[in-house]
Amino acid sequence: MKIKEKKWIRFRIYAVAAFFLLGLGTVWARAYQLQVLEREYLKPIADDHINRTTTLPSKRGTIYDRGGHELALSVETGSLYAHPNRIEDKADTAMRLSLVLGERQDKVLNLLKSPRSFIWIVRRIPQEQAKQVKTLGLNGVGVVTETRRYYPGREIASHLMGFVGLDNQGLEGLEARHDRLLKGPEYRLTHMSDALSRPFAISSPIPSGRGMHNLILTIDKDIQYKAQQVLKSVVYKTRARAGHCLVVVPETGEILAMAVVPEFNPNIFSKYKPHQWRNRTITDCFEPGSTIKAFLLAACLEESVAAPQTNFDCEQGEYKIGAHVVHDAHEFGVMSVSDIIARSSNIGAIKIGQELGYEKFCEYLRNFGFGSKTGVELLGERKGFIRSVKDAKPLDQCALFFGQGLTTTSLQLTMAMAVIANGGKLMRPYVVKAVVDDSGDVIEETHPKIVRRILSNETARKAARILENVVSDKGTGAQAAINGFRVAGKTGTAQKVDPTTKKYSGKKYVATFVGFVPVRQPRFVILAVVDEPQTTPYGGVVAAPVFSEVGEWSLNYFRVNPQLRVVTKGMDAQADAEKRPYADLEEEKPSKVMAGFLPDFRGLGMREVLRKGRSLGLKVLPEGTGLAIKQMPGPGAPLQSVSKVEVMFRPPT
Amino acid sequence: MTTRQIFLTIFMLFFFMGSGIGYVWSNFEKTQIGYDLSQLKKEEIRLTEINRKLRLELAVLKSPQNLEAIAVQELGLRQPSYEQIVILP
Repeated sequence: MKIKEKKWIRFRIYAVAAFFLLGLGTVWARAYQLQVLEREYLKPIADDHINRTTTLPSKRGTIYDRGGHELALSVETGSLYAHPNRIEDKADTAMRLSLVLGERQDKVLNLLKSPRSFIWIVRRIPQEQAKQVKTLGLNGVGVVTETRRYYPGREIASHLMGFVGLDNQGLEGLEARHDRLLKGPEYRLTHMSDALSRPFAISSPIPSGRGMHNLILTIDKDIQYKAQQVLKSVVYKTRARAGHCLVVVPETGEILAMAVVPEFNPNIFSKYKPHQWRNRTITDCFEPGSTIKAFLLAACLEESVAAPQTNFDCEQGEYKIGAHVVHDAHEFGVMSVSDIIARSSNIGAIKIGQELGYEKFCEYLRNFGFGSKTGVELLGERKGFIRSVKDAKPLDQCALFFGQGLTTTSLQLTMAMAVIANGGKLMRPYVVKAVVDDSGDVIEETHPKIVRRILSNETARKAARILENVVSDKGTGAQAAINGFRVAGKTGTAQKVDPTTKKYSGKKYVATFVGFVPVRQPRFVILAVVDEPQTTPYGGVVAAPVFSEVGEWSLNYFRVNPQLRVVTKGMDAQADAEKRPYADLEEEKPSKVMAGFLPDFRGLGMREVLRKGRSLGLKVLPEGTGLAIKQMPGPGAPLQSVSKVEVMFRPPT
Repeated sequence: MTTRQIFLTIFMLFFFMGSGIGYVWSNFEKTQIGYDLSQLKKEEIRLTEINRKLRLELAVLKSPQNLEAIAVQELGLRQPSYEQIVILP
């Protein structure tokens, strides 16, 4: 090869190399310019093209009843909006929209003719309908996804739950009270998309730990429904103004039902008047009337100022206090404390009360929770009112002993009766059992809370025995009797104060019954209040049947074993009362247990089982909580061969 | 060049080519999976919403009003009286 040729080849190689180097250099330089020098300016533009965000509408947490049934639930719906000034052919658009929406054409057209730049055509329609509108491809009309709150039980527990407004904000009841917990954040989905705007790499939609919360209530939807139905029919039959019914578990303070009439449907709450939204069980104060005698009785027994068989003269139905005369509904002579309560003698109550003293009674009433909020987690609770000693004239003082001159809410009255039912403890009522997050983990749990102990176990039991007489044939609350169960309670018939005359009205009454069932180991405290019944004013006639019906149904629903068999309504309590004089207030022996054999523990509470076991000299090994469901060895085993018993407990459902 | 050097060169060539192709392939797969994943995420959101709607429908159907109406009017059932209830232990 000639030298010249060699040089030529080398030259060409260098030329190619230089060409590539120059190219590479240009690429590097351009990359440097784009990535480093103009980064600040270009990056947002690029991100804008690549990253897309979709905003998911914020959802609200679900509200469940104690059995996990949905009481309030949010689902996605479509809302239709329009920019009227961007629509060219308004008549055509209105025509096509009205076909899909099923609305009147002129109505839609009127909306579209609005001078505003943005209008809602219709909000919260089914998503299928919204999709149809989308496929029409109309200019200036769009669809956004919004959530809508549904209450599948309609009127069930509506006063307790409240409702939400158009923008998902809680307006009443628990929805408002727990708005912050229920309200979920707006989720943003960020994803990268390619040139054809197909998404890839979506971020996780749920920001960790900040999701919405669901509420589990203590309410049982079936008992709630039953209470509402029974109450509604009674309010309707008696042409009353309103009514409340509460069902509470005395041991824990859980509210199982909170029924208020007039009802409203929270799905269409705006069609009702605001007074129909009110949760009257906590916002309305009334004079309790004779029901207060139950607490007078408990206070007297606790202070030992009177025994059940202590006699008082009821003055044949007329008793002078200063210039005033107090009357009884019937003329009574000398009666025992227990009869005074059973027949609800006002004069008798005054005489008993005078033994106790006004100040002491006020102190007891305050301890029972009257005059202060119960602490239930609901909005708008009222305190009620008790007149202080220095403001009370002698007549006022006497009137307090039969329930005039103080006001109370239904919930206060129920919780006070629960004190007698559960052996002397004032419990804090509650409706939210637990707060759970979206995956079902418990965030917060409410436990029963004892506010204070007021009565000894013994006093509570004695008071319960006497209150049982109220529901006997000679008592005022015979219609509250429930077949197969021993019932204790107290009726009340209170005159209302006429706001115009400021005097007690002769026509307007509040009929009340509050009681518990069964007397031994009560499962429910039930209150029924009927406001201004037009037919007859008596609590024993108007309110007691509500108690009886709701109680019977609830006991059956909770599968509580009847304690009394083959009895007719109204007979049981009387027969029982006659069998047992008040001096003999011990527990009755469990049936079917022979001496020397192991008793049947099933259905008893843990304390009862331990107490019984100890009295028989047995070692009891409890397992679980609640009521006994199983025991090893079984009932009837000879005691000599048994030294320890394993008892399994399960919470009542 | 010795035979050994030739082999080494060929080996290196294949090694770099292989790793290059491998890198591109894995990137491609990643993008594909990203597409699939985003589709599935969308599907998940859609199904969750359907689930909610079905739960709402079930709750409406199971509401006491509805059940009572069916039990009483269609099936002719009624509340048992006290004597008819036997609770088994």
